[in-house]
Amino acid sequence: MKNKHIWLSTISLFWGLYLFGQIEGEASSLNNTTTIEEIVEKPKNHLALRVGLDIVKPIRTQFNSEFQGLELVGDLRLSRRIFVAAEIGSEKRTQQSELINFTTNGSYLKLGIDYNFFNNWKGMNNALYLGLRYARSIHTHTVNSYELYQLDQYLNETTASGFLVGEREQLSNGWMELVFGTKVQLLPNLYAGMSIRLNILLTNPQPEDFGNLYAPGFNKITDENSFGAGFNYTISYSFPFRFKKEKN
Amino acid sequence: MLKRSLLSLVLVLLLLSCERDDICDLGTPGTPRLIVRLYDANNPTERKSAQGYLQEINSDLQHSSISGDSIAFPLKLSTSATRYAFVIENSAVGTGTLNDTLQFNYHSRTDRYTRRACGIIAEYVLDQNPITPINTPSWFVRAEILIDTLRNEEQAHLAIYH
Repeated sequence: MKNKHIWLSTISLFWGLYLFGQIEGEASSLNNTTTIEEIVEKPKNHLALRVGLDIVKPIRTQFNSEFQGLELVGDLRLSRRIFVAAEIGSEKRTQQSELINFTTNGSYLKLGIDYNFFNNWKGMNNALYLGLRYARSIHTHTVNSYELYQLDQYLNETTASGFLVGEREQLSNGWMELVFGTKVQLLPNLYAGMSIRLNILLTNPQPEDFGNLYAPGFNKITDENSFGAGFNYTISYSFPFRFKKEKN
Repeated sequence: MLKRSLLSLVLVLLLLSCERDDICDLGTPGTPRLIVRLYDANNPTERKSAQGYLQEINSDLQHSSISGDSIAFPLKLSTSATRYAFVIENSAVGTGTLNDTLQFNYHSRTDRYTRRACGIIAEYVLDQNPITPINTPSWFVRAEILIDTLRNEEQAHLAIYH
């Protein structure tokens, strides 16, 4: 229920921004058509570094006492279509899996490329892209408490924990992400972005006396399935730059 | 067109990622119960059935009924001893019942993680003296350990002669 609301609000917010961006873009493209020189003079240098922040995680941190997270995103435009992209994040999350309560604490790095297949009008810098990432996490699980799985109980007594409570050894998962997302220009250098991700687990080490049920960045890991899913919603700022050319 | 097909591809892949292992199916063994097989005290190689029921201490309800020559019941895992009242219909006398309170003794509980949907189960070991009668027994004669470590419910762990 809660998740559903988060999704709905992100999607609606996103569409609002998208429409806003389109109007802005049309306006600026109209302006551009009035001064043709500007278009011609548009620099051929595409390099631009965009850095930003996933805004869902800080909001969730505010409202959910069992979650702390932060994700920084960045991409470097190499050409009109190709971007080198990265996400780096950190998460601490406490959750209940059936009868086990555990906390996962760790960070992750995702590195890859985005291909923008959106044909922008002159003066617009929107993106609709498909991307690929290689990602790795470093995390530990701590079992906080649990009840034994019993089909039959003495006086309906639930048996509390003891023996397996505690922190497990550090783990590192590796996975690939297929990214589908969009970035919309809100102001000349400010972008709003959203992406959904399909994660495919490559390595899944298991801790002793517990399961690797969650990885920061990957999210929930299930037993018989190597797929996962994620999303982010970002606000980022673009720093266009060019290398100084030697003058002849 | 390209956009639309890519979008549908992503959606299909997301649907593929739906999981199915969130339910611990009933066939999966939980923490093993103690399985007791009933034998004839006068003729130790012969099994002997009993009729009646098991009652937890401080409870008015019966936990489970006893019929046939084997019983399975859970032990309290936060302590190392569990008491049950064995209320047995006395076939020899006719109308009366025999009421024995037996304490089961065990130690060395170890917990083991199974998988996401089923969580953690326990194993434990029966004491050298597995049963202490709390009152003077009228039905129970003696007990013998068949398997001292309770790892599963595939075989009987304890024999009770009566």
